[in-house]
Amino acid sequence: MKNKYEPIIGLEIHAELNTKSKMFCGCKNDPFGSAPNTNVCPVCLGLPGTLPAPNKQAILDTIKIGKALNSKIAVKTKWDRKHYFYPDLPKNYQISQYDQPICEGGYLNLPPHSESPAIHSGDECGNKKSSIHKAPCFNAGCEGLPNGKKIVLTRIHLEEDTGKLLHSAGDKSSFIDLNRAGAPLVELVTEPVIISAKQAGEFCREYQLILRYLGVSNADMEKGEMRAEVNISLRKSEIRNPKSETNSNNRNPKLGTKVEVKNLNSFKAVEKAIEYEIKRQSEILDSGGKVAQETRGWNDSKQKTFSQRIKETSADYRYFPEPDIPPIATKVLEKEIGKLPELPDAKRDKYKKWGLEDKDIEVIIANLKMSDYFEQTAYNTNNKKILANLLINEVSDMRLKPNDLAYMANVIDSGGINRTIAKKILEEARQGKSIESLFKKYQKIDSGTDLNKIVKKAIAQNPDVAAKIKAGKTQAIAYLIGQVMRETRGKADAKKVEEKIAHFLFSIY
Amino acid sequence: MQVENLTIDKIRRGLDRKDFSVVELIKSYISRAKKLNPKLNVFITENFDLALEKARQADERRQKNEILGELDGVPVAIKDAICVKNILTTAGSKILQNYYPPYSATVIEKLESAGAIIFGKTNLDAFAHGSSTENSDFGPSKNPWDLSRVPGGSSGGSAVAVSASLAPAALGSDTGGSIRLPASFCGITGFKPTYGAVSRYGLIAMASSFDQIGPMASSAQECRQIFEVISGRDQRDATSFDVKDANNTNKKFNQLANMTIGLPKEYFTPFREKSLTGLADEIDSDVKQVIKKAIAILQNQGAKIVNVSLPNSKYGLAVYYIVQPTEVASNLARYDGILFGKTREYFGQEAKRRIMLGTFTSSAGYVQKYYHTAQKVRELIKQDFDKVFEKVDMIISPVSPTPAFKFGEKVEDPLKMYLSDILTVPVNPAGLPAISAPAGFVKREGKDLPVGMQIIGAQKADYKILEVVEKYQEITDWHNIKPKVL
Repeated sequence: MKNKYEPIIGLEIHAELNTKSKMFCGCKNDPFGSAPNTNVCPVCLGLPGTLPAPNKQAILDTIKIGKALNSKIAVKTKWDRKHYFYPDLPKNYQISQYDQPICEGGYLNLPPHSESPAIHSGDECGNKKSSIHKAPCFNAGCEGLPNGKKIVLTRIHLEEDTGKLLHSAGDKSSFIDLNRAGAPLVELVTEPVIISAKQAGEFCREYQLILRYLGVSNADMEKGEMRAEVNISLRKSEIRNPKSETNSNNRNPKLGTKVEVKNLNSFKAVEKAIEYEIKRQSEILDSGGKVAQETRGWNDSKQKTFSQRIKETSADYRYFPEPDIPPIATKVLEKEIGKLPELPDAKRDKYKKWGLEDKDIEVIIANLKMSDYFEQTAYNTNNKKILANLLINEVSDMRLKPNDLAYMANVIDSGGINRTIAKKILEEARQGKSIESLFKKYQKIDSGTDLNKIVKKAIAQNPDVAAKIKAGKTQAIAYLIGQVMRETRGKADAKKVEEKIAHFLFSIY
Repeated sequence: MQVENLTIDKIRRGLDRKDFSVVELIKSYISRAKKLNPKLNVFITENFDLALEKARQADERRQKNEILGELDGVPVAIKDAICVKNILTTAGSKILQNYYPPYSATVIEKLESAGAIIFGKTNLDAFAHGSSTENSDFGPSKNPWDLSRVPGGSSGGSAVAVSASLAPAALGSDTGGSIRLPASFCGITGFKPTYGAVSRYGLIAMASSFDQIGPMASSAQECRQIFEVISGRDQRDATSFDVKDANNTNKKFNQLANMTIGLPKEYFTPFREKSLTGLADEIDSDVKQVIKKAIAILQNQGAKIVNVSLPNSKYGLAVYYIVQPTEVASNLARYDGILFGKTREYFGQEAKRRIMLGTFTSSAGYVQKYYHTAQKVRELIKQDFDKVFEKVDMIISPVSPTPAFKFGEKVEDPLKMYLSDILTVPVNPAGLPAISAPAGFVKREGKDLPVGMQIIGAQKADYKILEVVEKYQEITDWHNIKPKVL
């Protein structure tokens, strides 16, 4: 049965850059690793008379993100003051960007494995050539946006982070830690084009990967290095004919009331909060009620959103241009950025060409360290599928030298060793033994003459079984194989043993 | 020893000739300050003990022949809006009455590394909001020419310090005239540099896009000496730059004969309609006469005087009183009672007024109409100046329409108070350098009151206008005439 309502979702994602120093001062940018209020100075404390001096690396990093996400890099960018009173904001205004963000527009390609509903974004559905559209549309024929995998962005801008408040449960007191105040923070805003909890989760995961591959942010949601806010509204679904010529008739432009859900600090929370909101808002609409325009929080233990603040009017942040920082020629800076590192999308294509399965590709790509390790190894390996398998299943801790793993993959590929022994060798090699000596130790038994002796011995000791096999009861061969394996304590390759038994029993001499 | 009439040069020569030591010099200034400060209310904080210690160090340097420069051993008074590490810095407001900054402003670091001695922190209108020091939470300073009159503001304490010889030089800050007006009222020379020429790092912000630190001293020469030390690009102030890089300042302007000076008609010719912004309408006729004499002197030296027009300058005050409160409201937001102890109730009337105004002019629905429109007009004012500076080297005008006014005369009517800045304000939206220099006296109630002329230069023409005023002061004596206060 078709859902009665369809959700329209937009995301705002904040990510902390991992620059050495803070956004506007020389303080160490380390919000999590230091004792409270140790990485602070007059500037990030907002002391009277101090001035912000912008961090060039943070601007370069933001341009990198923009380039990775196909945004238009502004020719010139400027800063604005966003005013609100809060104890974790020392100046009681945040230096942010209002109308000239560093990056405008752009899109993020969701990974191919994502099971996003078949919907895509589009300005006008007739506009089949353009790949970047602003509003959601429902024409399945739009060439620019196949399978709804392209999530259109509004903007990406740079700002300073706030400090943190710590509330003591016992004595009604609160504490302020300003280590995080002034950390460089990148805010990405999507257009309201996301249509499911799953898709939102996929967007967040893919964005996190891109940030990590760019090396600009650790983007760990648990640590608050990446924080998501969800804007979600429901509207009535309409029966649409995907083949209809124009979209203007099959589009329902009426968006429902927007609810904002804040402080989501895991991918699961993003998805669960959206699912919860879809259910909650549907029930309100079903019962003829009105969804309130409000900001809601997420209670992870109750798995529920809860009302924080009703928004009757939009907050007035009294933005005006930051007089302490002159505009910056972003285009000039863009030239300082070399080639971007290879991003997840390109890696997917590459690994696919290398013969890897989608499932394995995602496991490797999800872990930057593993992907680096894999590639170091892969260039010395013929069968990269075997390599990926070994990596994921046997040596995911990556404690083996890349060359050793490559050697192992090559030996397996050429049939020189069986999986059981490979596993043992890898286990011992990870404890620091040299892979060559391990191969000598375990492969000895595999080498011709020794195995021949054992096989011959097994035949000689079991003449009745040998006779049965010769008489055509070939399944009896398993017994002989078992004897050999017992003798070799499992070190022999069963397939080879079988071949050898057959060879000795049926050969002419 | 006598410190009255000492200048930076005289101090240096005296020290070189061993007429006196730095310790003797500082002791003499201290004893004079101790006598006069209760009368004039110059210093919010006296830094005398530390100054004496620094004096001893300066004498040691002299003995070892390790003199740091022209300012080594020279006491300088600092407007209390400029942060000095571990020394009470109040900005004239009770909100900061217990605030000891953990860092020094760039200008302080530069002065100290040139050997200058921080002598005391001078009085000002709270957060530099005012033209008379009457808005100071620590009481007003007195004009040494007539104790019943204001010294001008907001850098009133610094102007009085120099005028009454409590220090040979001082630092002030100028957002709409706060250096030039008190310099004019007290009969000293005050220099507001090009916006960005001197780092603002450590200056407690009034309106960030207008604020500029500058020197105040008896003469333009001394102002130049201090400017040379405190100016320059500072990594900590993104709006700062080096004016020495500008190609129009390296030339020497030895001849006034080569100068073309513009006379803006809006500053001299009365408007027909009586209006608040009719600049010239507000100017006292004897003040105008003083300036006309100064122009005649410059003309006698061969300067070419031409009439120019700055049609948009009449909007200067309006622009200023939209953009400035917008920035003020923002800059004062941090005084929320958490870090600095005192809650927002401790703001004075004027700060509250500007917070209200600025919150309004920047609020959604009004920001376009007020703030952004004002910024457009600001650009027009700037273009007026740019156009005029294609034809002239500098512009001359009075600093203020009147000489120093009486305590209480304008404090009840903010608009009247704002109008004291009507001739200085247009310079700040345009970011230009300007000097206020003594040009003569007018009589009020039997007392001589000094009148300053204002010389405005093009962007980065700081040294050019300083040198012209130096020339002027070689042939005039107004800047050497000191009030009798003892």
